[in-house]
Amino acid sequence: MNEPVHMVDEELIRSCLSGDRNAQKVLFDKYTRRMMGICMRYAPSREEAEDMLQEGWIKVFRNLHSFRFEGSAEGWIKRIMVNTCLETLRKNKKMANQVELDDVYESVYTEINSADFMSAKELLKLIHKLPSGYRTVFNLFAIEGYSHKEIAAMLSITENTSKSQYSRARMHLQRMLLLENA
Amino acid sequence: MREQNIEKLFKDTFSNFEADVNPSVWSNIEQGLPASPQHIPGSSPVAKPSGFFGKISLNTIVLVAAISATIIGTTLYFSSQKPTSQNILAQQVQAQPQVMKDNSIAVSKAAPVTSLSNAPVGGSKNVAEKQTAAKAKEKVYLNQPPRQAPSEAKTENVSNANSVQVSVEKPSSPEPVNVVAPQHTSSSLQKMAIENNQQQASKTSALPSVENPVATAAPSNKVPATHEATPGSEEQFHFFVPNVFTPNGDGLNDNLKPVSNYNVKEYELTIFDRYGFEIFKSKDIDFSWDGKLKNGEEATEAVYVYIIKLVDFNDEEHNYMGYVALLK
Repeated sequence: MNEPVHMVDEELIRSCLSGDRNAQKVLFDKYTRRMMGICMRYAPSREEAEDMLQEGWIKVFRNLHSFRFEGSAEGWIKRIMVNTCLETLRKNKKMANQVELDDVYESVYTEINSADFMSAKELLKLIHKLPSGYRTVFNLFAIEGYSHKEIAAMLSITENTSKSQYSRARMHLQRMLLLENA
Repeated sequence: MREQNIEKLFKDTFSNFEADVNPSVWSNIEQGLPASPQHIPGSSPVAKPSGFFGKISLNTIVLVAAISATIIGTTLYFSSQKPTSQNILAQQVQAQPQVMKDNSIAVSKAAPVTSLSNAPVGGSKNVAEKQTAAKAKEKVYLNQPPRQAPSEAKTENVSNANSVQVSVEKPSSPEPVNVVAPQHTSSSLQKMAIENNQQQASKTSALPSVENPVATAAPSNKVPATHEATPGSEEQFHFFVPNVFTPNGDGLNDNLKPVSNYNVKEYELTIFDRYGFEIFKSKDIDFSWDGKLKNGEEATEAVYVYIIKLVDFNDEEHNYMGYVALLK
């Protein structure tokens, strides 16, 4: 099932490499919505997510020659996106280890519609309410599926920090969800 | 309970999550990418050098090749035949006294005679023979060492000889061109040689770059034109102080910079903290507040008060007071 997709991607990327602007656009159109979804999870706002997306795509096209056609193109692009997001967050000094704001929590409980089913949009809202550091670790661990060890290396924090940030984030989300469904 | 399902909930929701993308993102990306290299391959019709440049480059390459061959030939010849060269010269001078009136004629006449270029050099020497035969001999000697700098008259002769040779000896090797030609030739010839080098280089690296100078020259000529079209002539003085700045070292709004549309004659900015203590003062509009206290420490995130007194270009006094938020 995956085979033809990869074949298509491979051809696409080869024409991108030869500098075909149209092929670049096709590749962009194919994955950009999904990548935007990733950026939205990491960025505190839509504007910043768009900046990350843009930055990430430029990196993708600049480094396309280093794609080895081994894994899926999407996975490769996704990894670049996530790294771009982390880099941007680091640049903006909104990184994990700086967040220790237990007071922020209160504002978190407002304006969530109570419904058993929660749309991605609403969950995204919850994610955005997390402090940036929690959000980053939660994204990396729960959704991207990195290990705490990997996360520690990526964010240059200790493994324990990653674990504690994650459990706090999780607790946080849980409380929000409970409150939501109460 | 939900506890175990949080990861699942989020993972399921977001593993294929998509979000709308602003269409402007692509155009921004396009700008961030290097210009489309579609035209680089030589097979593209665009890459073909247009007639004039193509001819020039071909001709000049041949020219340089011929020049170098001539110079090498002459130096080799004269260094190997010092004693006899004078006699030969003298003979040639007598044999062809009127040849040098026209170089092209000289070529056509001299070409069949020589395979290794002594006749054209001799022919060029004919010009010099209008002075004295003895001097001509001296010049011949002077030309022997390849690296000796020639005088004005000599360089003329050499360049004549070279230009004469060009159309004669096309199939000579282009290798030594870059080394020999500039040392022996007059300035105009050097220029040509340099042009040749450039064109050779561009020819070997990428064909379209022959055309590129034209393509890039055109837009750069247009740029000033757009700049000229903005002479604002309103006499109103405007002054603007941002109400927030972010001295976090990211290069964006790191300083509090008031902006005015005209130069100010006098200027004084004072910043106070919320207790009314003066923490910054500047008398130069270009010396803006970087968010540091007088002792060099960074001011905390807060709202500060500024008072600005200035005299504008009309000698009118203005006082501004307001609040600025410092964020990091």
